[in-house]
Amino acid sequence: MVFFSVFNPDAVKDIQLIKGGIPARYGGRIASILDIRMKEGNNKQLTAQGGVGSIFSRLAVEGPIKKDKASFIVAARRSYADVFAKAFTNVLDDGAALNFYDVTLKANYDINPKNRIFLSGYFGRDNFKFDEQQGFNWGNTTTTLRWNHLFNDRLFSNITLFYSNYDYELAFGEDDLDKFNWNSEIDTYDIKPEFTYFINPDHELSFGADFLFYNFEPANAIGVSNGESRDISIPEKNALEASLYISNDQNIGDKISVQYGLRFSNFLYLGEGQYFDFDEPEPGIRRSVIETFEADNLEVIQSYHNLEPRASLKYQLPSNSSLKASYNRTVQYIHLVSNTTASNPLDIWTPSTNNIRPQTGQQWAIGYFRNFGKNNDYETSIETYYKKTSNQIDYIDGADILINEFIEGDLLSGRGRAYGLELFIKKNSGRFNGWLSYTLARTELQVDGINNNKWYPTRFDQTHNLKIAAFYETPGRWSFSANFSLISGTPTTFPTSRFQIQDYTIPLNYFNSRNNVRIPVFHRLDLSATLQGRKLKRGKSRKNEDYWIFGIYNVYARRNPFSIYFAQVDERPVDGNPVETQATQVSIIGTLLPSISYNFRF
Amino acid sequence: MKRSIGILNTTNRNILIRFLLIPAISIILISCEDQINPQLEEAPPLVVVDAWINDRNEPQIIRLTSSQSYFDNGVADPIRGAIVTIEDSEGNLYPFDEQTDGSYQWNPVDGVLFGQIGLNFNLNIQAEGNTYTSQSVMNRVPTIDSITFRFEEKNFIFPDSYWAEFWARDPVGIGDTYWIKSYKTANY
Repeated sequence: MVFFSVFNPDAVKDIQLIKGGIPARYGGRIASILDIRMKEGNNKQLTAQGGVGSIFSRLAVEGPIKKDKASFIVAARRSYADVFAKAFTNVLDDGAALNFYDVTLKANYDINPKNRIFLSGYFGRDNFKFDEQQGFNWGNTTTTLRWNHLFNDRLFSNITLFYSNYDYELAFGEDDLDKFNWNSEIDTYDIKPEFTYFINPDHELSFGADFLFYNFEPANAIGVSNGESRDISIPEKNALEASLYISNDQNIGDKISVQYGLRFSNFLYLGEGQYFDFDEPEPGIRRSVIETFEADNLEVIQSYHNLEPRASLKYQLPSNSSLKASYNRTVQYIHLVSNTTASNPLDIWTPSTNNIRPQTGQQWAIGYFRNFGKNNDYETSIETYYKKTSNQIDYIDGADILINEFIEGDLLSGRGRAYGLELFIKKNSGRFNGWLSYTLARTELQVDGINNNKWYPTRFDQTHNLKIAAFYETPGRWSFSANFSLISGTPTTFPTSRFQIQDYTIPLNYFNSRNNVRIPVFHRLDLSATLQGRKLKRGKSRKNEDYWIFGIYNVYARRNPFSIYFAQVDERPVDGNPVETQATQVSIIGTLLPSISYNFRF
Repeated sequence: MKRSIGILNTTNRNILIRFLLIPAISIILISCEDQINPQLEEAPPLVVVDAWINDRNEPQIIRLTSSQSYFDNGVADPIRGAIVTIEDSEGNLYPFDEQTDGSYQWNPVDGVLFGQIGLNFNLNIQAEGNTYTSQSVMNRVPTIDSITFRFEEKNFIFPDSYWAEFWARDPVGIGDTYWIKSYKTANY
């Protein structure tokens, strides 16, 4: 997993990360936006590229369906983590598996000069099995159909239909009489008509709408013990998110360009099912249900709406430099509930409900950009931002977030703030090139009932984040690259004290503080070398291209912490004897890991 | 047959999930573990009351200790000189006397056992100038019909092992929760 980019580079044209000045056409999230554009297949001839490696293999095929009219691209990857792990352990012998695979595809068809249709899909899954019937897996599936239509020289539209599914499943138990199965799914259906109107070369207007239907299946869970089964599933939840937007891109003179717009979003939490009213004891104490209501299918239980203004400005300065400033308000109607520092794939998402209000964010950012050198050999930038958020979800101490129908009673909401300074420098030219980025930042929450109502860092708080990438191309067939990253340790909550109850040692956080310590700093260096295949064969230039990549992951074998747990050493201590307690750090791949792959294109 | 005061809120479901998830997640790919010694905040001690009171014909013991720093691996210091009593909802008073090891004990006299199922109990402790009180109910537990053992070959999580299961019938009605304490060679 750590070896992969989430996106298959063979199928992606470009990736754009939008952190500030988010245009009005994007909504539904309060963080940054990652805009991924997929490649279109080659519509002239069939080509393939791929690689065979020690950790994973990949293959991408593209070509015309109908010459100059329609083309496709299919790209697939599969990891060998299980094959690799088998060399170290024999526990994978009875049907166990540990792997990842994904398939990305896209097809496009130019019906006529005014109408084009695009169909794309993604399917990816991680599998982790102990044996034939026990294990867990998770994955994503998406399908997109887009129709691009030109009304005239100035007006065009994109109508997108989108479906996505995220699911995970756990299965345990030795046979049908003793087992436990749990799966969870989120389905999203989206219709998005979008229009762009070129008023004149300095003025572009875009407007559109977005209708999103969510279906959450928080838990379908059945436990069977000695043949007696018990269904502890949680009912489905439905929601509809509808938005309208209008946005204007304008150049004012040759120095100033502005983009401003407005998004209106509406969210409906829908039946059918039960919904609850909770009591209001003091913050931080579990709330209990005081009244239960029944909603019919598609009955509106709760509705929210928000105005989301967006604005950004770019001012061109002399000597290849510019100033950019932006403001945006964003709203997110779904919430991620997590109480772990370690990342795991079993994400629990909940819609906004009658008890959980939508998250809103406001961000101000300003940056100075300057290029140096004749051919813009060096790019530099300095940016700073401040962000204010509200209705941020956190959970009470001792919250029960797994398969809990009354999870709202364990959640609290508060306000957040994030601010930081980002520095970036990139050398574009020469045999030796690369980039360096550094961010100094803080991300904090204040929630009544947590950390004695004082501000505390969130688990996404990274005081320092340093990334360095360096590349060197020799005049010959070799090229080299190095990647280094250093990130401040994730904040987490450690105990202060311990006490003994019936031979169990119980950790105690005396001050009721949240995220009161940081786990050790994360840093890692990866190196790789690429050897290009010969360009000539018996004096003639070769039709196919190939190259080898040799890599070393985690060169100096840093044991970066994945998780830290506190536990008593002896689970069955002798009564009256002292009990030893310790902290243990778990590292994943805390060793250097060499890899090799052969890559080709023809 | 053992009956006990004490409420345990953890349900089967939670035990199951936690028990299954922890090993699963910790062995994703190749992991290694190191003991670490992080610096923890210093916290003042708290009074800890630990007891497992039941209606068996045996001495009933309440332990008063001080909480200690998390990495302090010594035996917790007992709190001495306290006055410890339990009173049930029928007005019976059970005094607990301090022992040489610092624990507090009540002994059945002439076969009269502690408490009665369904009664409420008030614990009263006077220690170090403070008074601490707590309330609890003595709940019912089902009769254990039998205990069976079977051998399981090693799998992904466990080595070769013997699994003990007990068989009992949950009484009619809701709200019964149990703490199943297993022990091996007289050691819990």
